[in-house]
Amino acid sequence: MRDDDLLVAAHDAGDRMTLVTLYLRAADDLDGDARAFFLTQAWIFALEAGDPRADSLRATLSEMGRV
Amino acid sequence: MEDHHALLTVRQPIGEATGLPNGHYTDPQTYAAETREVLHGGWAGLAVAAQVPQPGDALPLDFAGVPVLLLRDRDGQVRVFQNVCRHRGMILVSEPRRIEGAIRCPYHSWCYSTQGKLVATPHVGGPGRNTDDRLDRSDLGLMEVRSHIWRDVVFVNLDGLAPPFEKVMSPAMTRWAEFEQPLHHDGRSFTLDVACNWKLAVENYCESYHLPWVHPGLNTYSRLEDHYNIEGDGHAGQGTWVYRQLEMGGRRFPDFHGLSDKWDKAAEYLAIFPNVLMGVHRDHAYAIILSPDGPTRTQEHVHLYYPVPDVDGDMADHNTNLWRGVFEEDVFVVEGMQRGRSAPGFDGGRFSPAMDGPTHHFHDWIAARLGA
Repeated sequence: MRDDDLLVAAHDAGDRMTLVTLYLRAADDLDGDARAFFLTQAWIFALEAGDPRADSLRATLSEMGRV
Repeated sequence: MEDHHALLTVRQPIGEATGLPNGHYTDPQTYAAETREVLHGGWAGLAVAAQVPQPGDALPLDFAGVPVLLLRDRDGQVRVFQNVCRHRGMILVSEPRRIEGAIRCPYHSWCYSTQGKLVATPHVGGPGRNTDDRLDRSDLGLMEVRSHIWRDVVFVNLDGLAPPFEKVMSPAMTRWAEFEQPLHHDGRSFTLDVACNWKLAVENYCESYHLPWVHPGLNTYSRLEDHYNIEGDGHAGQGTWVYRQLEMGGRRFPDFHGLSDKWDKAAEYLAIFPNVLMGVHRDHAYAIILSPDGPTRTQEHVHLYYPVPDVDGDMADHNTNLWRGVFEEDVFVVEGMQRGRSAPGFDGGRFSPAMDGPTHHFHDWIAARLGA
C-alpha cells in the first residue's frame, strides 16, 4: 500500500498514532514549508492523542520558527 | 402585558392565585423568554459529576438549546465549556469520549487543552506556519461556563451574572447540612423521556397531595397525613415522617454518617429551583436533572447515591426499580397536565390552599424571575 493510501486509511480509522508516524515519514527529505506542513500534521495528531512525540515535534517546529 | 397581568395573579396569596398561564407550557416565545431568564440567568442543573468520572472524560450536552461540554480536566476538576471552537463555531465534541491529550476541532484542527486553553492553530499563518501575529491565542480559549457542584449535581450559570451559588442555594444547603458528606453514585442511572414542559415535573414533585391517588403503593405505609410541606427560598417540596428502609433478607443499606434522630424515620424531597429534584433518606439519596427539550418535552435523568461505594448489588437493583416505578407512575399525570394546557379556557388553575403550597411557591418564584 502506498503511504497516501495508508494515510487515508488511518484518517478513516481515526488511528492517530499511525497518522503521526505517517506524517513524520512524509516530512522526511523535505524542507521549508513542505516539511513544516507535514510536521504540523504529525504534531497535531500527537497532541490530540497525548502521544509523547508531541513535545519533540513542537520543539522541532519551534526551531523552524513555525509555532 | 396580558401575560404580565396573569403573572401578577400568580403572585397573589395562594387562596386567590391562579397558576401559570397556558403559554408558559406551550408557546415557543414564552419558552424562549423563560429559558433566558430562569434557566440561563440563574443556577440550573446540567448533569452530575459522576458522568465524567476520569480525567479527560468529555460529555457533550444540550443545555436548554445551548451546546455545552462537561469535562473532567487533566487535574481532575470538572469544568463546563460552550462546546464550540473559537475559530468557525464548529461543534468540538459530538460524542461522549475520553480526551487523551488535546481537544481537536474536527474542522481546521485548532486544539484546546482540557483546561480550555487554545494550544495549537495549525497552518493559521499559511501552510506549516502555526501562528499569526494578528491572532492572540491567549484571548481565544474555550468559553467556560460558570459551574458549581453540590451533591454531585453540576449546576451552571450560563449568563455568568447570578449571585454566588452558595448564596443562592444557602437555604436548601442549610436545611440538608447533615447530608454534606461523600455520595457514591451507584451507576444505575436511568432516564425518562416525558411529553411535558419541565415545570410540570417540578410542580408534581413538590406536593404530596397526589400521593394517595397516583402512588397507592407508597400510600400503604406513608399516608398523606404523614407528610409535611416545605417552602424555602429557592426550593420547595415535601417530607415524610415514616420513611421505611428497604430490607432484603435482613440486610439494609448502611446509613449516612452521624445523622440526627430526626432522620431515623424522616425523608425529604426538594425541588431545587429551577430544574433539579432531590431526595434524601438515612441510607440513600437521589438527584433528578430535568433537561428541557423545547416547551413540551423533558428528559428526566435520575441518579441514585449511597453512603458507601460498594452497596449490595441486588438491593441497589431493587431500590432503583422501586424509584423507577414511582417516577413512571407520575408520567401520565405530567403528560396529562401538558395536554390540558391546550384547553384555551384553562386559566392556570386554582390551588388547594392547604395542600398545594409548594407548587404555588414554585409558580410564584417563576413569576418573580420573569419580572412580575
